[in-house]
Amino acid sequence: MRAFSLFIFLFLYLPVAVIVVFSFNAAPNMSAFTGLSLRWYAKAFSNPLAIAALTNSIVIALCSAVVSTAIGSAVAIGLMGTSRTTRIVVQSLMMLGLAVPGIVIGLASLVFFSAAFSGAEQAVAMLAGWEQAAKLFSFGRPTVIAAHSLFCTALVVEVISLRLRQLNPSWLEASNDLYAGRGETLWRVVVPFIVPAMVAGGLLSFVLSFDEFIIAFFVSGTKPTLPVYMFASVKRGATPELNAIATSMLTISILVSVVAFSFLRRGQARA
Amino acid sequence: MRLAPEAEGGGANAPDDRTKGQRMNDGGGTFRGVTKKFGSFTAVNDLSFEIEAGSFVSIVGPSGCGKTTTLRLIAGFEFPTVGSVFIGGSPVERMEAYERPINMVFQSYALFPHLDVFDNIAYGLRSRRNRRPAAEVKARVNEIIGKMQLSGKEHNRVWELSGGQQQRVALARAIVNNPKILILDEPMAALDKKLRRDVQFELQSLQRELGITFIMVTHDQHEALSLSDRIIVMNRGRIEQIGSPDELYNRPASRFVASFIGDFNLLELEKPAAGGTVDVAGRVLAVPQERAGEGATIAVGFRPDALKLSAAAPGAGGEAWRATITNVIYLGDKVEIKLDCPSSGTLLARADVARLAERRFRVGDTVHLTVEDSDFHHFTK
Amino acid sequence: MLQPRMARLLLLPGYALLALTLIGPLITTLVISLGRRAPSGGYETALSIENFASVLSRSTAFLNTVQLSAFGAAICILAAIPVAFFIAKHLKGSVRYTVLFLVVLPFFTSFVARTYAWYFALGGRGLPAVLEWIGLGRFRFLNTDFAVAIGIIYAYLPIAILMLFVAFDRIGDDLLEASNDLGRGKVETFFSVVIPLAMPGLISTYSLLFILLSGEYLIPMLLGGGKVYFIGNAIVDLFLQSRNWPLGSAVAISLMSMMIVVAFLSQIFQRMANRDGRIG
Ligand SMILES: Nc1ncnc2c1ncn2[C@@H]1O[C@H](COP(=O)(O)OP(=O)(O)O)[C@@H](O)[C@H]1O
Ligand SMILES: [Mg+2]
Repeated sequence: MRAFSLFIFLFLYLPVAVIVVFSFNAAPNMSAFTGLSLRWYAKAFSNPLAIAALTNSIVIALCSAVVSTAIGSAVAIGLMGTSRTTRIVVQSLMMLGLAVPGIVIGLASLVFFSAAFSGAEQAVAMLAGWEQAAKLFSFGRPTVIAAHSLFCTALVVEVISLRLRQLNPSWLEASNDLYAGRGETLWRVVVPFIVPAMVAGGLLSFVLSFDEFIIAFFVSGTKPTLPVYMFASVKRGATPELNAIATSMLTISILVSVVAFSFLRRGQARA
Repeated sequence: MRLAPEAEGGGANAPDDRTKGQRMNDGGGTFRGVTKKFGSFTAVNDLSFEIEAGSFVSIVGPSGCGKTTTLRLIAGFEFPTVGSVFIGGSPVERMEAYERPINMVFQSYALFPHLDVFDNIAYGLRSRRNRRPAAEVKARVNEIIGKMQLSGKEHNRVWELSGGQQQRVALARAIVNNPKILILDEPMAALDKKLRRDVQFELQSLQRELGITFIMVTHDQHEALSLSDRIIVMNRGRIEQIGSPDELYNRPASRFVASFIGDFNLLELEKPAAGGTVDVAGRVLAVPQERAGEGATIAVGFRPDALKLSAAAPGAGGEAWRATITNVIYLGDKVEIKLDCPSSGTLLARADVARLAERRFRVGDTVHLTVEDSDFHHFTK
Repeated sequence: MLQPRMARLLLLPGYALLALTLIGPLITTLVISLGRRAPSGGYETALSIENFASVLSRSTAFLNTVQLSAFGAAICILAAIPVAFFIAKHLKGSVRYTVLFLVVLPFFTSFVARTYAWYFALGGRGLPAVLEWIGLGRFRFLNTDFAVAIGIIYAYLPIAILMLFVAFDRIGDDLLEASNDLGRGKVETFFSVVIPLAMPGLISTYSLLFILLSGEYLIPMLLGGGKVYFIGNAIVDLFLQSRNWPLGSAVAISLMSMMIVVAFLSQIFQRMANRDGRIG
C-alpha cells in the first residue's frame, strides 16, 4: 500500500516535473536536455498575445476573487439569520453552481448573455433611436468575471460557513451581555472570527478563476484568458514556450493555494 | 515455549484453587521487562508481572500513566520495544491481535454500526481464521444473548441500544469466543453512576462463573478495590505495587500508593530518618521491622480513620498535635472533618456519625489529635 | 442572533448573483432548446421538442461519454482507495496532513497546464521516444482512448483521494482494532468493516466523478485529438462551429438531466448503504 501510494505520488507529480524541467532547457528542440536557460520564458513573455492573455487572466481572477469574497461573506453571515427553508434553498443553489459542469455553465452563460445583450441593445435602439446600439455590449472580461463569480462565491460560502459552524454561540451572548448590540457584535466578534476564512476563500477563488478554462472558452469573446490561449496554442503542438507558460501558471496557482491553505489552517488552529 | 521458574513458583504457591497449574498454562499472563516507547517518550517502563489464570486483575493509576498502553500490549495492538509477553506460557509479543487468544471490551465499546446485535456478537465466530459452523454460531450467540439479558434485541441496531445494553453487547461479543483472557479498558467510563454499581456486581459474577482471567483498567480506585483479586498500581509507566486490595490499603509500599488508594494523611519528613526511630512533630516512632532494611524513612502517614479527635488534654507529642477544624462534611453514616494543624498542615479525619453523636464538632473548634503508633505507615519511597 | 431584516439584506447580492449567473442562464438554455436554428446560425423562436428528438442522433457521443466516464470513475476510485486508506489510517500527525495536502494540491493547479503535461509526456518526444530508445518498438499514445483515460485519471484522482480520505477517516481506529481483536486480519477487516462503512462515501465519490467526467471537453480534445468524442465535444461543435444553438442547448439539457438522474440515484443508493445510521 505504501509502495502503491508512492507510485500514485509519482504519477501525480512526474509529468508536471518533466514540463518544469524542459521549460528551463537550453536546447532549441525538446529531444534532449542540454543545459539551463530562461530563453523560453523570455520568448513566451515577449509574445504580445501571451502577455495580453496573462493580463486578462490576472484582472479577471482578481475581480472574481473580490466580488465573490464580498458576496460570499455576506451570504454566509446572512444564512445564520434566515429560516431553514431559505438556508436550504440558497445552499442547494450554491452547491449547484459548484456541481454543474463548466461546459453547461459556459454555454448557458453564452446564450443568456447573448440574449440579454441583444435585448438590451434593442431596447436602447428603440428608446434612444441610436443606430450604433448593436455594438454596445460584447463578451469579454465582465462576462467571464460574472460567470466565474458563481462558483467562486459558492466556494467562499462553503469555506466561511464551515468556519462559522465553529463559532461558539455563547460568544455572541457574552458580547450582548457586555453591552454590544447585534450590529456591533457582528462587527466585533463574527467578522474577526471569519477573517482567515475570508482570506483563504478569496485566494482560492483567485486560483480557481485564474485556472478556469471551459467557461472562459465560451464567454471570453475575442479576448482569451491564459488557459484559453494555451489551449489554442497546444492544438498546434507542444513547444518550449508552452512549457514555460505552463510552468508559470502552475507556479502561480501553487503559491497562492499554499498561502490559502495556510490561512485555512491558521483559522482552524485558533478555533 | 518455556515457563519461567518464578512463573511456575507463583502458580504452585498460590493457595485455594485445585486446577491452578492447568489454569496457569491456560489463561495466565506474564510481562517480562516490557518497555514501550513512542518515539523518545517512554509510555511503559520495564514492566514485569504475573497474572494468575482465572483471576480478576485491575490496573489503576493516574491518567497517562500507561494503563491503556499496557492493555494494548497484552491485546496485541502495540508491540514491546523491549521485553516479552507470555499468554498461558507461550510468548506472544510477535503475534498480531488476531492471532492471540484474547478478547477485549473497548472503552468506546467499538460496536460495528453496520451490523445488528446478533451479527456483532457473531463477528468473531465468523472470522476466516476461527470460523465455526453456522449452527454452532447460532447456538452460541443465542446462548450468550440470553445470558446477557439481550433477548429480543438480536436484530436491533447497536446505536439504538442504551449505554448499558451496548456494554453488554461488547462483553458478549468478546466472551462468546471463549478467550483465555478478557481485557476491559475502563468498561464503566460511559455508564452513569447508578448503573455502574449494578454492572460491577454483574461483572464480578460473570468472571466467577466463566473462570476467565479478567484484566481491567480503571481510574476508579473504589471499583478496583471492590472487584479485583489483585491490583496493579502504575505511575509514570512503572509499577508502584502489586497486591490484593487488602494489602494495598493496609500495607501501601509507597507514598504514591498510599495516597492513590483511598484517602491518606501524608507527613513528609524534613530530613530522612536513617536510624531506628523517626521524629514526627515531637513524637518519636519506632521504624517497624519490615521497613528496617529498606533505607531511610522519608515520610510517614495514616488513614483518616486512624485519626481520633478529642477536646481533652493532648496525648503524646504535646501542643504540636492540636488542630483547628476548617470543614465538617456529613456523608450519611460517616462524617469527614478537615483540620488545619500548625505542625502537619492539612489533615483529614473520618469517623462514624454514631461514635461522634455525643460530641458536636464545629468549624473553628480547636481539638487534640490522637493516632496510635501502630496506625502509622512508614515510607522509604 | 441576526435580525431577519439584516439577514435578508445580506443575502440580496447572493440572490442577484444566482439569478444572473445560474438561474437566468439555465432557464434561457431550456427556452432555447425548444427553439429552432436561425438560417444564419443562432436561435429563432419556436416551441418544439424536435431538438430533443435529434439528440438521439448524437447517441454515439452519449454512449461514448457514459462508457468512458463510468470506466474512468471506476479506475479513479480503485486507484484512490489504497492511497486514501494509507493516508487516513497509516499516517499520523502532521505527516498525514502534509501528504494529503500534496495529493490534493494538483487539483488547485491549472487544468490546462496539467493536461498539457500529459500531452507533452505522451506526445512524439515523450514516452514513445523513450520506449523506442529502450528498444520496445514504436508506440503511439496520443489520440487514443488510453491517453484520454490516463488524462481523466490524472485530473480527477486528487479529488477522489480527498473524498475517500474523508470517508475512511470517519471510521474509528477502534472498529478496526475490534475486528483484529475478534480474529480478522487486515484484508478481512478491510472488506468486512471498512468497505461497508465507507459505502456511502464510495457511492457519492463515484457519482461525483461520473458527473464531472461526463462534462469533460478539454481532455478528450487534447489527448484524444477530437477522435475520442464526448458530449462536451458535441456541445462545443454545435455552438462554436455549426452555430446550432437550439440543438446544442438540447444536448446540454439532456446531459444535465442525465447528471441529475445520476445524482438522484446516488442519493438513493447512499441512503440504502447508510447502514450505520449516520447521514452522508
Ligand atoms: N500511539 C501513541 N503515540 C504516542 N504517544 C502515545 C501513544 N499512545 C499513548 N501515548 C502516550 O503514552 C502515555 C500513556 O498513555 P496511556 O497508556 O493511554 O495512559 P492511560 O491509559 O494510563 O491514561 C500518554 O502520555 C500518552 O500520551
Ligand atoms: Mg486510558
